[in-house]
Amino acid sequence: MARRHTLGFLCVALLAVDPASAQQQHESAYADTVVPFLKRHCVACHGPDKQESDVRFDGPMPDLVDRDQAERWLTAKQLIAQGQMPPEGRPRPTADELTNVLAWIDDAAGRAATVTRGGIGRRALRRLTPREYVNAALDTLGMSFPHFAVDLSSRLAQDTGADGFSNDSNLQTTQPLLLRRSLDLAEQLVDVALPDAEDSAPVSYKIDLREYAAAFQGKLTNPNPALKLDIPGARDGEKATLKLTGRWIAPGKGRGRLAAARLDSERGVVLQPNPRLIDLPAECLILEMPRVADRGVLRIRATAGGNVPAGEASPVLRVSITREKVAVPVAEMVVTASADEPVEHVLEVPLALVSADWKGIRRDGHLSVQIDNAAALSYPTPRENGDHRKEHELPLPPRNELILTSLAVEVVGSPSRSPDLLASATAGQTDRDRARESLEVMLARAFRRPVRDSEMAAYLGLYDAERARGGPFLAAYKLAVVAALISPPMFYLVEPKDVQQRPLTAWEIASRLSFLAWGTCPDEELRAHAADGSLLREDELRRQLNRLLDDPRSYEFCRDFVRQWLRLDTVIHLQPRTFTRPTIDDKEDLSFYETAIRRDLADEPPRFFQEMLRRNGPIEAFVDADFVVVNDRLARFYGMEGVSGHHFRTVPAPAERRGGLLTQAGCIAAASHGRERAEILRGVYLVERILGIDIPTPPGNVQPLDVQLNNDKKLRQLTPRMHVEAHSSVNTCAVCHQRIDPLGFVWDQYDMFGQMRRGKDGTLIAAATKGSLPDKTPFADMDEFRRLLIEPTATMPRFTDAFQRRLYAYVLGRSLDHGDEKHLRSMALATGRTAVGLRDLLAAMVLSEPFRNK
Amino acid sequence: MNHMPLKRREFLAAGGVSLTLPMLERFATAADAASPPMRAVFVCVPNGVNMWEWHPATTGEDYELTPPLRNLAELRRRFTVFSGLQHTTGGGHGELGVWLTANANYTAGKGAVTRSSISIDQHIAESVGKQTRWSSMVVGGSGGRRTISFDRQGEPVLADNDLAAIFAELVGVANRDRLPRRASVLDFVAAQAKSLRQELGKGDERKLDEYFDSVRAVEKRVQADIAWQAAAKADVMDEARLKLQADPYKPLDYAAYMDTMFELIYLALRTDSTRVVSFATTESEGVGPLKNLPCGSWHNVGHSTGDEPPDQKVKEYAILSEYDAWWTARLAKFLDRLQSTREGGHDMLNRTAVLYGSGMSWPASHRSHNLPLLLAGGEGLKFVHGRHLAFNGQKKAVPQEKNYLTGPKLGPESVMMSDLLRTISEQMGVDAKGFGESRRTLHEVMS
Repeated sequence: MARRHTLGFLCVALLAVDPASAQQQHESAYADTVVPFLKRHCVACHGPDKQESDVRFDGPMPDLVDRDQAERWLTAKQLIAQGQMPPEGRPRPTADELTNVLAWIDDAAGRAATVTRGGIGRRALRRLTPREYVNAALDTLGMSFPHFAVDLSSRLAQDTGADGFSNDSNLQTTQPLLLRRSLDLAEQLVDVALPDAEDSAPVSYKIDLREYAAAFQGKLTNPNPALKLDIPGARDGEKATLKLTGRWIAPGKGRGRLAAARLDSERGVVLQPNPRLIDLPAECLILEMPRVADRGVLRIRATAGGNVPAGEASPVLRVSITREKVAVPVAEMVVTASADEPVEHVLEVPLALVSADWKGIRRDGHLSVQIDNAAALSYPTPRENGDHRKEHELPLPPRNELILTSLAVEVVGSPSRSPDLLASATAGQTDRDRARESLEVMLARAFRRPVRDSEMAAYLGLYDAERARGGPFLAAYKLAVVAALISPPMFYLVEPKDVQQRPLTAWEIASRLSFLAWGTCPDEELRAHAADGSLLREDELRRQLNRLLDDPRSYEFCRDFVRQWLRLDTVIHLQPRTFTRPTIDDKEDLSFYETAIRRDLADEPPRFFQEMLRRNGPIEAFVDADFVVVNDRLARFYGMEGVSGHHFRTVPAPAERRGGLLTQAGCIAAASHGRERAEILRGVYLVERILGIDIPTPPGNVQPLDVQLNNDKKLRQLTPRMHVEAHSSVNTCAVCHQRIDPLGFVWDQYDMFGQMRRGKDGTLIAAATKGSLPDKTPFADMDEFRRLLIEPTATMPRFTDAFQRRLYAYVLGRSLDHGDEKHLRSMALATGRTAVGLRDLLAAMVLSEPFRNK
Repeated sequence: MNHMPLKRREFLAAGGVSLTLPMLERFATAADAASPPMRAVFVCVPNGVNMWEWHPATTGEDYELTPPLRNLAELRRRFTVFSGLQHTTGGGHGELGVWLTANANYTAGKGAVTRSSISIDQHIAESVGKQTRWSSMVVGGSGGRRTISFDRQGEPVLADNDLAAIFAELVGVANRDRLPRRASVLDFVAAQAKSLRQELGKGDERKLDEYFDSVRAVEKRVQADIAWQAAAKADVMDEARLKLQADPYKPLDYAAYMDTMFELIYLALRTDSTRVVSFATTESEGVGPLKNLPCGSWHNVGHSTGDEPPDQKVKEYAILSEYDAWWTARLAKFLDRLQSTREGGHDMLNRTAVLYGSGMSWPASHRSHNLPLLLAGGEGLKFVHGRHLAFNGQKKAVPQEKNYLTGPKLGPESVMMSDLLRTISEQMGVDAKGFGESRRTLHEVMS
């Protein structure tokens, strides 16, 4: 296996030994063991007389920091270890000779790796990823918008390719585009957090929807009714208009579904799911407000409950900002309260951060807010065989109902969770003192450490300069906050160097830990432990790690790591339908369902990971688990009964879903790229993601498998297996594909979205799951494959080894190199060979030297 | 369709700022300048074309427009179509990394581009870019590392794909009042970075230098914005052409997204915000928005043809033709927009050289000889159009010729795509001797 190195006796603890004498030992080992070996076995062909392949081994001791040298020596090591060098016919080195020389090369490579990356810990200054940056900026400003539906991180340019982790400091770059967009975002965020003195009277409308219902009851049957009601503003008297729009066209005249909204003077407005956001939505409430500034916070308070028939999903309260043909969903919240006991739901939307069409809310100052029920089907209803009625003639099954009793819509200056970003003004205090006091708190949070005097002076200088130019207090202070948000100590995890490699400070560890577990800056408790230095103690570090992992915010870590590791984001954009039978509403409900199920498919593996973290499940359970973590929609997708509600929960796995990640539809879908015939793509996915073996990029002109099949009539007559086998033997790419192709068959029982392949009558199609691992170990089916992944080997089970490397790279925020081998090994030893719990493994990584040292 | 141009007042209100009118009077566009600037636009449509159709059969002025070129019939006198130009290495699906760099040693990555060598647009922008707000405009349908632009060090220049943000920066009025403050923020963080630099190790220093360079680049942009008086004239904006919310991942939005991007490029040129543009319309292969074209996955169809004779793959080639025409229709719209805008004594197209094409010719075997390329406009840069020029003895592919997939043997006399890139650069006034694989200028397209 490509990445598994025999390390010999490399366990020389580099740090324990005085560096100078270690260097001496290294040099004398070269002179004593390596040089004689080279003379005896290599120099004849790679020396002064002959330079086979342009390689010589008669020079001085190599420095593997040099890339070319490193490549030459590591290639030599590999060839020697495999017995390919010295070539046949030459005397064989003895076992002792071999061990010593190979160990020396390992040692040299390990040292070089440490030197190259400037320390045992991190290679290069790590930048916050776009997600981390948004989280950290919001936290620094003390804001949160939990129901805000706009992904702010997508506004920051993504600079990593499809393969690495976005937190890999080796792959990250910083480019003007990113900095520009970060500055834009920082300015907007600061405007939201610190609004200028209210420039207009706050807007506020309160509507009792029962009264509205009473006013219009009985009028819904008309075609295109004008259900418009003027709502007086609570504070300034300007009127807004509330209207209920929907498709109440006489049955048979229109196509598609009709509105089923009801007016109930007892309970209010009853909305059924609306599968269409714009262009004739099925049913929704629209509030048209006059003249609203494009800043401030739009706050919706809705008293709402739901009626949920058995087998249906919960209603979803969705708020969108609309104008003509543009609608931007800005907030969403699942309503779990019952219709009998409605509760108040509060959704906050920072208007300045909505990238609504510039002409939408800005041109004339009017703002339209659309409120509807955004629940997707939990499962589509298939059309009966032989039913040829038109779609609108088919009766629809009862859907959930969102019952809105009252509604308050406001635009206010600042968010309700008001940030302590500005010290309150006290009598006798100068503006400058107030700025200083505020900056002290804010800068420490932004930089994740105490602020130095020189920094404080610099930021105050920035403030002073703006005041000197005549800027008001708030503007000058905001300027300093914006500067802090794009300054290097915010933008990067800064860990200054020392002459020697050094242990990280408690503050630096706090940052690493917090960005790892929560994807954001340290909270108050963690800061306290950094301040008193207790985080440097192993027990405290362990305790804090556990605390962070116990918090729901650690889902950020699960999501970020797992979605990148398993490439789950691609599932969202897959084109084909998951539900292949015709349904009673293909046009609207089904496409809405397809969007929702894709999100769930991509969410399952991270939710599973989260559960594994919670229960400290053994790593092996990632490919061998008797439970699944699903919500109602996924359960129905898997054909499981008895799961209701949108939240993910742990339930016993059905027989065909006991493979952990391997039987999760999201992974299979990500591996299959939306193609019916994807054996080879699946093989590549398994090799890279599950077995952790790097394979080279294929040459440009290789035909995808389904295309080859389309092209070649002869190939089409072969079974999939025969075809793939032909591919891996005839093709010039056999070197790699003999290792890749036989893997993909393990998923033969599953279709491109991970559902069981079934015939028309619903019985399972006989699958041919026989295949082999890259090292040629054969397996008969999924069960055997899983067993091979986790059976003990000389070092570590195959999957465990690969998983550990992936996770460690993510934890360290850089790609691994030769210098990390010994830490991986010692971690394996520290946690015990078998049944390592995920949480224990993570703890071992956090406690390992590279994590705690520069 | 309502093509009512946006009125100036509305436009200002849209900007969200109330400026007093006297200041507005200073607004002007490039059109008012005595001598309009020279510009170059590079549009890459990867994944190859239907090679049985793309190239005309005869050379010279009287060539017959092929089906994909018929969309450009009205502009026939305004462009040159080329046969026989090539890169030594096409890079297969790494074509984005080669198209404007001609890097013969390029190694394709998985999906995103990897390091290459400087691309011609950035080479031009290094000189020409100093005169405008933005030294260049690098955009793409997929964005990020799906780019055709590379800087002097060979690092990919990230492509911007955020329509609304590009528009906001283009208009620039919304934040005009805060520009001076922005400048002082940037100046401040640059100083902070400098003092931090002393504390860092070698590797970290390099990373911080990236930050430092980025700050400087943004600072330059802000300074240019401050100095920039020629904000977009109100009648330049055409509301109906800007669908800033279009999402390329939604099949129904795809055309609107591409048209809006072309319109933004037009606006950037029109307002003289930049003179060099690169547009990587979509990715090569990949899983991005590419498959959202009306006919499904273009990449797969390209493979499905197997580059076989046309009668063997009638359906597949028909789909490819549809794609080719879909894109040339967008190009025609863009060129027409330039042609129908007057500046100085000419139209805008006269001073704008637009290179359009793919980094691949035969889509199944990913060939990089006889690349589908056309150069439009730029007569003011001395380009002479209305012809089909064939190089290296290239003939139109015909099924009877068995070896249509084989590129010509390259000798010292061979003409490369690099020669065309170099010529564009030099006509822009930027010396590019020896750029990529170039050995000479392409005087044929100037006489």
